[in-house]
Amino acid sequence: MDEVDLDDVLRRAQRHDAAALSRLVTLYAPRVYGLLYRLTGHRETAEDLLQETFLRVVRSIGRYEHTGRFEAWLFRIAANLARDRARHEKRTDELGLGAGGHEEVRTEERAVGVSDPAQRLAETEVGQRLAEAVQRLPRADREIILLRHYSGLSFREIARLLDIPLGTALARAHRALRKLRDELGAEG
Amino acid sequence: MSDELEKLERTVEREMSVLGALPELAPAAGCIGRVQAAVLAEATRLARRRRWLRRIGTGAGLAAALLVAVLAPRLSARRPAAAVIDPDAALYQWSSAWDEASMQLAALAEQRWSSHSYELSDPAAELDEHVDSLAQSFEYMGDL
Repeated sequence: MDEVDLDDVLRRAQRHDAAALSRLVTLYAPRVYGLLYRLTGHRETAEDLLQETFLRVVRSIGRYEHTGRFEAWLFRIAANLARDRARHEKRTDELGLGAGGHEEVRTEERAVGVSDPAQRLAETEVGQRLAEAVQRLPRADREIILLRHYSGLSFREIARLLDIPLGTALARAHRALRKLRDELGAEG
Repeated sequence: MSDELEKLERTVEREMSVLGALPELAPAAGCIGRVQAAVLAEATRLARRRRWLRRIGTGAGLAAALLVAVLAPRLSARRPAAAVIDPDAALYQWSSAWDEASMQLAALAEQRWSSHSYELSDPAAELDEHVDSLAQSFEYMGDL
């Protein structure tokens, strides 16, 4: 969607126009879901947070000032919700109230846009190993690279969002990406 | 940003390409539809609440105006040549006027609650409008 169309959709969404709100969900839900799923490692939690993200969007879009950074605003909401949920689950686990290790790691992952079956299989395997390696990263490191990958937020914005110095964010991302490369290299 | 940070950022941005192999994810069938339904239900709920607040706000503004309208003639009529006002009497007048205004407001809110219009507008602007209306009413009262 080009910027002009998005401007129009956002203007209508701010008036709570049903078609515009539905369009925003259609446009952004898959990517937001991708981020939430990779952050939480759990399909149902990701779907739950996806819905909550868009409900927050509806509640606060009237106050949103569009300066071409809608995605950053949207993904910031999603990331904050995922952080809150992680904190809540940590507290629940510490109190011994949780259901215990719910890291589901994979469900309906799919390689898209590859027509050759052999290549598709190979890419799926690489992708799958990568997804699992990402899931094994420490949460703080994983969060940074996933936010950068899915949201379009700059590292500076991510650092601000996570309330950490830019240098720390970059160092964590660097460490995480090196670990991924090493793991994929060792397994490959 | 220092040169070292810039250099590190460029390096990390290059390294990010490894995530290009991450498989795309699709939410379960029906998930998007459920989210859309929830979003529309929330939008409708907010519209209803905003409409209610607007009417209550309008009612409050009108009530304040009514209070002024009811109180002003009484105070003026009772003001003697020496402009001495009995505080007890003034308080009594005020509370009577307030009661009247409250009844008017309740009637107004009830009457408006059942009407049907779905026009949406900026709640912050509406609130400002109502606060201005109230402020003007009280300012007027202060001048009496």
